[in-house]
Amino acid sequence: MITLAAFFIFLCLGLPIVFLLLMAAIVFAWSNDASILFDSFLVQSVKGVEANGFLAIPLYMLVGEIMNRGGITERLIRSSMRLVGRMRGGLAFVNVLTNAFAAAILGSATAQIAIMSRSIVPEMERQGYKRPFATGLTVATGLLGPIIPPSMLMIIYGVLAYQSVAALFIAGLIPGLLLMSAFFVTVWLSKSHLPEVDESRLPGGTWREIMADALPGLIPLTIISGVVSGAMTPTEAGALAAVVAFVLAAFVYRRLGIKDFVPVMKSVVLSSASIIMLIGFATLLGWTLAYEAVPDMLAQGIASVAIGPVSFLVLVCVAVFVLGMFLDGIGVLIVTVPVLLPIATQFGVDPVHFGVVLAISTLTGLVSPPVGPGLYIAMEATGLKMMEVFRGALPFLGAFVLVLIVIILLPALSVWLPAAVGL
Amino acid sequence: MTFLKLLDRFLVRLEGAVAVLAMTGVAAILIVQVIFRYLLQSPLFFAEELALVLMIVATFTGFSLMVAEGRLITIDLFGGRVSPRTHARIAWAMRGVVLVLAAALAVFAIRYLAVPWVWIERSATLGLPRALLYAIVTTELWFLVFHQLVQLLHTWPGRTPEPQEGTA
Repeated sequence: MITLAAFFIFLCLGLPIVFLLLMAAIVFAWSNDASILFDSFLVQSVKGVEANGFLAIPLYMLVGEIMNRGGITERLIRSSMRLVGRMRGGLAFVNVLTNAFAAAILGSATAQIAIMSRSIVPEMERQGYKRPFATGLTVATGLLGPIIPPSMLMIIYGVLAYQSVAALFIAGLIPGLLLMSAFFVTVWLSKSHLPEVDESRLPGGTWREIMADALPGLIPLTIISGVVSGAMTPTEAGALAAVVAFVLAAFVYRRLGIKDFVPVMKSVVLSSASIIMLIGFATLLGWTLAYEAVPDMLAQGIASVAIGPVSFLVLVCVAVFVLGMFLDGIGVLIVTVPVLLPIATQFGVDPVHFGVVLAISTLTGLVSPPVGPGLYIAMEATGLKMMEVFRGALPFLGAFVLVLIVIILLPALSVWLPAAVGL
Repeated sequence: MTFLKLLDRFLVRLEGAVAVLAMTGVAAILIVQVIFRYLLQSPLFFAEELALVLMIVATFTGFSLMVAEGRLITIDLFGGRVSPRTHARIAWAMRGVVLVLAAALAVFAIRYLAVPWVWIERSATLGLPRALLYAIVTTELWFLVFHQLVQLLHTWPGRTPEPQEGTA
């Protein structure tokens, strides 16, 4: 109780999230007379990140950074405009499609919301879209990042749950495409927000330019084909994707030079450190809570309320949604997976299906007030108020929740494809 | 004060170089490993372990840099609801809490390293004492504590305002 109170007080006061986890671990150990744990705190934090699977994180961050600085984001937008830009509300469809392409490269919702809020929202405004609608759509479609492979959340879940990351990547494909389709339908239904297409702003170009703009498609192709074929681990596929992205940015588009090397690597260091430290301190908190068997008590509580796999998954989604409003998605996964996975298997839920449901439900908290970090990122990029962003995103979040319910009810949507390709 | 600031800047540069080198090492080793495994059919047995060690060094160094550059992610619920003066005081107090927490972790780490048997355990492929990695990480934690202390002294309410920490 003391730990929970301290957590919320310091959260409200603005203590950095990563230190909130450390503070909670210290307060919990201290208030339960378990100060004997203190001396192992650093070792537990380091052990939390010492898994081969986590090596993929800096590699996908590197791919994202090269994509951002190497002009690949602009190419993705142009390619999407050629595909769907001529429809009414073309740019809104372009937003969804570009985010789906970017999701196949980036794997992180917050990174995607940050990049897209700055690149596509201003262009949508110039073409007559209202800023809250454009921002809300961008926030919602940013959620495709951790679902369509590669996905940071799936990597972390795979390591924590001892599941094949390759199977989890592939398991996210159909739910990701389903979400993308749901966003397309929601855009189509939002007719009052869609201005006429400004043909003069559509990209033209020779077939050579069209091909050059389509080349970034090689990056997700490398990752997905490498992983699906079983020829490579997700980490190795990430390494190869980094080489492909570098060759495109440096030699084909000539947008990346030697002078960019240090800024790119420094940015990778900082973005990877923010994720990996969260993993380390969330692991530490989970380890400290386990000392007093808190996870077991929570597990028993949930197991006593749930009556079947569906009600269990719904309960999990509600709990994760509430936690996700205050904690980063990674923190939510690390605290919940060791507690909930054993109960999920008791209820007969496939661990891969559980991973997909958990990853998607974690994202709902990311864009829900009062704390949703995704909303804060979009607010900072666009200058809107939180409720304006949230109202803009609301129809799309409705579609998101609807798809989540369908995925809970139909496990085959997550488990069929990995089984079909033999993973 | 100027000396502390100069030392702080020097450490930031040093750590920046270490972090970039370590992260470059991670990427290079993993790319080279793909070549060795699939083209030369002879994977490097130590590649994953070395990459992990470098990733952990880069992570903790990066963490210290994030503190030095005020780039930690916070949820700012008070911005706009309280006066700028009160807001600055709350932010300063939270920097103080970060300092206390980081210093506590660094002290715990020193206490752990002071136990002789922790130096016996060796890593699987490189054969290095695992405590060496913990010692490097502990050093980084002390650098982090130093950066935070300098920031705390430099942003004392009433002094010239500094840029706020990154919010998200």
